[in-house]
Amino acid sequence: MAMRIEVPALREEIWQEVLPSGLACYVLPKPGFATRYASFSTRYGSCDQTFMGSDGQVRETPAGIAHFLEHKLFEEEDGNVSERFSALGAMANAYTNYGATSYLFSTTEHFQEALDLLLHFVQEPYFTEANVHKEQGIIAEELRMYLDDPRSVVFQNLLAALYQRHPVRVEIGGTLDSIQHIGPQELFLCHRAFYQPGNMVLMVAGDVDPAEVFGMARRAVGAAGAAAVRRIYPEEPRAVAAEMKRQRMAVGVPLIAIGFKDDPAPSEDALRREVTMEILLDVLFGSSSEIHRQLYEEGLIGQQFSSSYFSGDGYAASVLGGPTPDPDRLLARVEGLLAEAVAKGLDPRDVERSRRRSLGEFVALFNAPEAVAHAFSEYALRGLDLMAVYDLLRTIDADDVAQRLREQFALPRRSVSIVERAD
Amino acid sequence: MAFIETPLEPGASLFLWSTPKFKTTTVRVLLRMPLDDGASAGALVPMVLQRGTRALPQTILLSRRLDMLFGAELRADVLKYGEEQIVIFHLEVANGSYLSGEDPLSEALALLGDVLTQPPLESGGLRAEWVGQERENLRRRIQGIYSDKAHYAQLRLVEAMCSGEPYAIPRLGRLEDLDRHTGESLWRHWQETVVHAPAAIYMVGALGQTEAEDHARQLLERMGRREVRAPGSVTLHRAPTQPRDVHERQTIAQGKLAIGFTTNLHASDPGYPALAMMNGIYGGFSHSRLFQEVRERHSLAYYAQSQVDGVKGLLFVHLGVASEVRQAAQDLVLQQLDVVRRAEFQPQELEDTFKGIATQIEQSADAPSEAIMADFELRSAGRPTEPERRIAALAAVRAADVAEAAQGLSLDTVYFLDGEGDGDGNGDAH
Repeated sequence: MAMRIEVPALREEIWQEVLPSGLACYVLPKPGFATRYASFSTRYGSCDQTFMGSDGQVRETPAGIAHFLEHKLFEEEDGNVSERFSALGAMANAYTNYGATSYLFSTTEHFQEALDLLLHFVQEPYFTEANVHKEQGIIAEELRMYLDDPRSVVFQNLLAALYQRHPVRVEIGGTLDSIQHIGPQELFLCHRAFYQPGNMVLMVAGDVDPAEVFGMARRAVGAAGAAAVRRIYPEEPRAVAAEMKRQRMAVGVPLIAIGFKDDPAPSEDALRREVTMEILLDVLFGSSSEIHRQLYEEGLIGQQFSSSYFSGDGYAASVLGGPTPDPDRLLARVEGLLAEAVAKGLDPRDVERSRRRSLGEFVALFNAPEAVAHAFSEYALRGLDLMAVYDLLRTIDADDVAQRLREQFALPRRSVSIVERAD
Repeated sequence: MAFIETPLEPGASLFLWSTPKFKTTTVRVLLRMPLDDGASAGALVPMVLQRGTRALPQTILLSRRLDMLFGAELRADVLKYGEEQIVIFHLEVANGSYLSGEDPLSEALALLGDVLTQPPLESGGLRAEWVGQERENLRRRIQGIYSDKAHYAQLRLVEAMCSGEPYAIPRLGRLEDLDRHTGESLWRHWQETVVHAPAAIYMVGALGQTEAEDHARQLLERMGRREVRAPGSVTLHRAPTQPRDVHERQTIAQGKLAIGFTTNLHASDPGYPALAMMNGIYGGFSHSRLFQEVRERHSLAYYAQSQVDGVKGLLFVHLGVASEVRQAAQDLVLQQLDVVRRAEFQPQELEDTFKGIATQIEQSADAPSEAIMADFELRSAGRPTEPERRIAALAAVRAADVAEAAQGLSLDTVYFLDGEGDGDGNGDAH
């Protein structure tokens, strides 16, 4: 039975149906838009290295295998599936993050053929020793590219400092060494375990008929698969792994990332936590904040300074940073100013201002169906409802924000990552 | 998508796309300046202007005012277009009907007008404190390009290729020019820009012609414009008789190969659609020759792509490759160009490329900023703006036309940023 999730004030709606196979399907109708977009995603990210399959056996797999699998699914016996999307005028792509893998395309024509292709290729693996070996070379170049990207390095080093055991501390793509241990057998095993309809989400946005999409998905995605896979995460201690990680690189300007480790919210509170934290971080560090004003006028930060709440299954942290001429001085200033802010408490007017800004940004998000689809699907994979953000933003309470300020920043568990210039 | 042009005064027009399609109203003011030694001033002034106005003389006051207008976005930047530097002021506000009913547009536009024309002045110039801070910010933005190796490689390639031409000047200007700018010199530069630069005011959203025209006229009136210059022209770049080879080393994990060709074609040339198709077949898509050969068949690189600058008549190829396979990759790049020159590609490649570009053209009407920039660039190059006409011109391109466009390419410069040395980079990260 199709259901409708509505935000009447926005005049937007998303249709939802869970198919007999367990696949959750969502459609955002966008009449008047030329682009039609679909993503087919699985709750399987770089963190899901250890799991128990339907046979009850615990498996440990090499770092980077979810991302490797993403690359390899594009391969078919007679070529690469992205060429078949090209022949339809569609652009296909895919990405892997810490908690999910997503396959997507956008097109203006031949939407149904492209959707059918998407639903099929993701379910039909084709791995051989030769094609896996070839991919190792391509992925090694991709990893080397990230090794030279200081933003990626400063962030990944921060996660390795914040987390002692949680696999979020390892690069999404794995390492140059770990990818050498991935072969066809491991890939088949992971595909069987995680690419079951009940573990997946289909998201469509554009000028389409929801009933038609649901019907196509029902035909293309067969019966429910094996029992659900169980992810096994090591118990993560509350303390950080390291307070400081420094690295030298060929950069023009040094970079810093400061992380504050948080206790993950229970799943029923996860959405409220996200919204509350985004407001809190905006009030504390956003471009209208007192801390931002001082750091900016002291020449320690520029327009690229940012803050965000980074959370997923078993991990949560506030992260801030960007390029800076003097990482150590910036760190000292942030510590001092943050302690002052905690002592002083929040001004409810700042919360109100940030709330209005977030509401406007939420409205503006709906200009871009792909962006809505992306965000909605990411949330759905975590069991959260993006559309509920609108009401949360309208009702958010300054006291809740103030409480989070104390919980997260009064006795902070903090790590710092710095990329310095190699001269 | 159809922007209606309304000339408002010599050298200034309103371009309106009146549509209920989006939940915001987007306004862009584009001012065209020649790309010359003033480029760093052109990049710096908008950064200073965003710091505040006479009515809101502190940055935090302006920022908080915008928050209260439901996060209205007001920002400025510069773009390099051929041998011009385009100063862009961008305003985007949520449509009030989706919020509390109050419409933030009029107030946000008034703020935009203040930012453009009413900065706080001291001793006849922009505020020295802000100039000093933004000069350092701009310095770090320019230095920061060194951290982005692909971007850095492109910059160095263009410097080597077009040395002595205005095109070699980077979008943000040159580092060595920064220190000579003062509050007074920047204010003079800005008045020169506001008063004399050809201007385009774009608006997209649920507003009518009369309303849009009123807003645009008010903006222009406040700018006090007169004696507008003609937009700049550009000379196509010509390849040297002997291709240049540039080599540079850094301690990085992956080398960057950047190759520049001349196309001998301007975007207004009737042969341009064939060049666009040629670029698509060669390196514009994942079905393209470069991606298929360099990455899929030989797994030498993670990315391998090409792109065209239609105004300056250049085509660039970019690859991230290991040092030891650089020559093999470079040979493949040139070999694949020869394949296209001999028209030895499949009809399917022509067809897929046509569909791919047609999709991109249709999709540009789905995002206000993209629609604006596409319209601006097409008009400036003297090309048709209607999607149907653009797609029809591409559909008419045959394999022989593609081969001819490829034959017009000359190799100009090969730049390699050598990743020799620290092969495994930060293996000790954890």
